[in-house]
Amino acid sequence: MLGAGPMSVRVTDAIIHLANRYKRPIAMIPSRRQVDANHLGGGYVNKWSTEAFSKYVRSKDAGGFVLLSRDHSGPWQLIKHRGGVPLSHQEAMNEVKESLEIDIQAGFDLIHIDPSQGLEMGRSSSQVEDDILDLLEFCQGRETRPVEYEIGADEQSQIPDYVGVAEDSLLRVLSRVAKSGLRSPLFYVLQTGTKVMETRNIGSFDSTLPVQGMLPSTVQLPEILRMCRKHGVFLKEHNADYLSDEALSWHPRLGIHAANVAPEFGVVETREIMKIATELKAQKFLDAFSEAALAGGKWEKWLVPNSNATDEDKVHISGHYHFSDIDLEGEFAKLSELASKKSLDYDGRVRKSVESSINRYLLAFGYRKGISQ
Amino acid sequence: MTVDVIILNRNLRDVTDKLAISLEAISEVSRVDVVDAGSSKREISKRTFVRDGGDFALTNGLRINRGFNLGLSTWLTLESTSSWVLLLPNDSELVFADFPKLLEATSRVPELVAIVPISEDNAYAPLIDETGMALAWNFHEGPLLVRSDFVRERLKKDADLFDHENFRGFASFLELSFQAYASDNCIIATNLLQFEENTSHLLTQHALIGTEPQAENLSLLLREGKKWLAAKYGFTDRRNLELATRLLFEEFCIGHPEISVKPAV
Repeated sequence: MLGAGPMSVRVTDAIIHLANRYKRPIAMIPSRRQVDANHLGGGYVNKWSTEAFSKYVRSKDAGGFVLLSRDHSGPWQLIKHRGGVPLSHQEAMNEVKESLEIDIQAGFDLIHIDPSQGLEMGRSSSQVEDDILDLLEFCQGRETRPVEYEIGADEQSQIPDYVGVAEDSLLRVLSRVAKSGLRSPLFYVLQTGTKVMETRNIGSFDSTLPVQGMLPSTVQLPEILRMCRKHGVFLKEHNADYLSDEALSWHPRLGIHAANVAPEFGVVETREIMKIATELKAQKFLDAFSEAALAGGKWEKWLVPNSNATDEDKVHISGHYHFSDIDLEGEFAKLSELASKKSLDYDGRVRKSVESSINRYLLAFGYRKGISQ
Repeated sequence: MTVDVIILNRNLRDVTDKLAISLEAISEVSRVDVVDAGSSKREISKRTFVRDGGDFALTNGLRINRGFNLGLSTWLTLESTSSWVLLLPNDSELVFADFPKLLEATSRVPELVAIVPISEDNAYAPLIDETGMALAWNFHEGPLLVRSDFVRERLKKDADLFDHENFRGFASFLELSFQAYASDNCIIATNLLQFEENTSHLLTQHALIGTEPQAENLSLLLREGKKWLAAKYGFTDRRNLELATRLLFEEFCIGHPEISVKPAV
């Protein structure tokens, strides 16, 4: 199954369209930065609140093939400090519970409980496991309809997790879940050797040559999958963006159950918009959009050390964070108008490139089979 | 039980000799010989026991497959009684060696045909337990210890250890692993013998060594390697060979519960 990030309205629409086209589920995986509860300020994607986002998706998802799936919900995931002071553990837990409560009320189907940021805030591994239990108990106590859960940290890593360590951690959580009378998580997030930097995947999964210091994914992954099957959880791969077709084709072959892709779809949309703007010689748009993206600094965390990324690369990386900037609303409208005057199907072209980008993953993961069924 | 050492040299005499000296100090090492892969005259080590001075080697070198094959065929004529042969690229630097423990342990695993030394920064390192050894199958090319009997048997059948056609050694150790496990033999990774690769020679002295700059070398390794893999096995992806080897490895582990060395997983 594909987990796709709703990086924009267009990407959201494309996910809904493709899930219904193939009549197979796609998990729509907003982070809290993208979409969050109304009273917590909403998110950067279309300024959507969780409530409005859920309503929008459900209203368009005629066949009910989209699984609303919260990505990375945990203490300190969205806010680490308030007024320059680090949030206490209690404050951070209360804050994320407010968000989770709305997710459940809004009808989310899958929730990724990820308290791993606590490790950076002084929590031990065992305390992070306590937080998983606390949040699972909180969520399951508020369910009005069945919700599935995903656990496991997503520390982007170039190499797959060591199986023994991952198994010990999973067993500890599963045992405590069982003792607490809670339902077990459906998915377990483990490193498969994928790591996204800039606009490429630099992990060992897609490395065409053995790299010193990295185990080839074929050494660890089958063991990880065997371990997941043994304990009744599905493996959810994160950061599958930009994997080559060859690497993607190995996903069903190796038996990877689900994979998340997000920033790539936003980058594809940004690139197509800039391409059209360049064709239309819409310099004012290009300048305004680039200035907003560069000044926003959202590209920083994606750069490799000593990066050679140009300003244009930085705009490609971070442009999607600014699709809903109020200051750019007029510029986007003018670009669309200009395209229309020149008989250029602006919206159609951008939509097509986004759909094609998502479709690459769906085809590799075998979604084609759904058409004839 | 003793070990013979073969070092592959191309235009780095001092580096090669320094490595040889570090190994000659080990009591289990019976001899250290050098294969010369087309060095200029002043860069030939005095420990050289065979040299390819042909036009191709002078221009392109031999790389590990052709170099080690040449070394092993020469070693065979020595009729050495050593149980193991250690094959080393000359940019290897000895970090640690506990040959008594390693050789003693290997005598208990007759199926063992090759040993891959693992340094502390190698991704396999955390998978090796306190015995210092783990059964494994997918390795990066580098230093390699091969059992003498295994080499003799291969060479007697006119079969080189490494494929001469695979010039740059793409997936060479994976192929060796494939062949070993397909023959109900095995390979272990060990931290009882550790080398570090001094990459500075390749980065700064590639012109002297007579190889391409690193980025170009990697690109050629991949391009030529994929072609070789497709021509030999019909595989378009290295992972096909990896998966086939892995299945043989798993079958070996199931079929040999008596082996005390645990798989690296």
